[in-house]
Amino acid sequence: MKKRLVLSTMTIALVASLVGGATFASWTASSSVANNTFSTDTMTFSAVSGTVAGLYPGTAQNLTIHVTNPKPYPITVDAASLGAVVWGQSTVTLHTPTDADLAFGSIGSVTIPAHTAAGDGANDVTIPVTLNGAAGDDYQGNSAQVTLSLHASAF
Amino acid sequence: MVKQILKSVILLGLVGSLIGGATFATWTASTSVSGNIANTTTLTVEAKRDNGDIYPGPMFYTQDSEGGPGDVTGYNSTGLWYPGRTVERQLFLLNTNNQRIPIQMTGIKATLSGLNSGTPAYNEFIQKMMFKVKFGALDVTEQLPLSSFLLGVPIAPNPALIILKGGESLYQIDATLSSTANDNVQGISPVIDFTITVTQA
Repeated sequence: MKKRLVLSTMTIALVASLVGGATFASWTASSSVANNTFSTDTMTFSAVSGTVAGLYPGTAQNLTIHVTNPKPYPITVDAASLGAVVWGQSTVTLHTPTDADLAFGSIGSVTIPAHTAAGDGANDVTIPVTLNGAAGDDYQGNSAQVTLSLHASAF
Repeated sequence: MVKQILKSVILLGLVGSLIGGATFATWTASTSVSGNIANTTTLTVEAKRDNGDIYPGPMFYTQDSEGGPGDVTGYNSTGLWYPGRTVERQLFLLNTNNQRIPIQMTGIKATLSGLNSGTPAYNEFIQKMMFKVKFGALDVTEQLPLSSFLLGVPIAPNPALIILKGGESLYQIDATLSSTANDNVQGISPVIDFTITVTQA
């Protein structure tokens, strides 16, 4: 009698484990939301040239450049590199040939606000410009056209 | 008396033989009912954007003309993307089954077109375009790069995500172009299809 009871209990447990541990398939379906387009912008900005007056050897004056941002996000102008320097009177000579005529200081980091409904964002970027202390009389009353490349980042 | 006893014994014996050893025939018959149909249903779901219009898609489009018709609240184009930008859009999931089958979103996968695989723009974009799926306050996925969604992102079972027959759930997808996205992704127009997988819950 005891043996039968044990056998019955084992059978019930086995059936219960089979029922409890059965694997049920779950059906799946899918649906798509297509053609999401993520066109990215091409960053641009513009700058209006400025003028520095009254330079003389060894002194610095600020060159102010007006920068305009047409984009809906702010940008930061953080660097300027010097391009061509063309003097109106081409006979200018420095004390030593290796000296630069004009030295441009750091512009730091200037934020140009984003374009809004009111219009483009704008700010002035100021760059200190120094005429070489060795610049001779050739530079008196002279004028140079300077090309500067500004660098900005969007974030 | 003896005769009566003898009759009784014989009768009992006859009855006993009938009960104990007689063979009764049990007639059987069978019939079949053919043509019973056990149609299985097909699990169905519909995923649509919800810009107030419950439209099949897309959720994200940069220009109004790409958004399709039917936007009752006005076109909801994102405009162009730039580093650091996040845009949220709504995804509507509808349990369209005609049976009482509860379903749950169990995966989301993306496919990308408009960029050639392996190019600098492609490699940068799939790492810097990020997505996060939310359901109310619940983060269904972490913020993951597109590269993960291209492989398919599984979604763990969660009772909160179960949609009953005829029911609907409104998900939110946050798209972010990382602030570290470099110049390789300037001026591109990638297109992403999202495929939502649901499973019988």
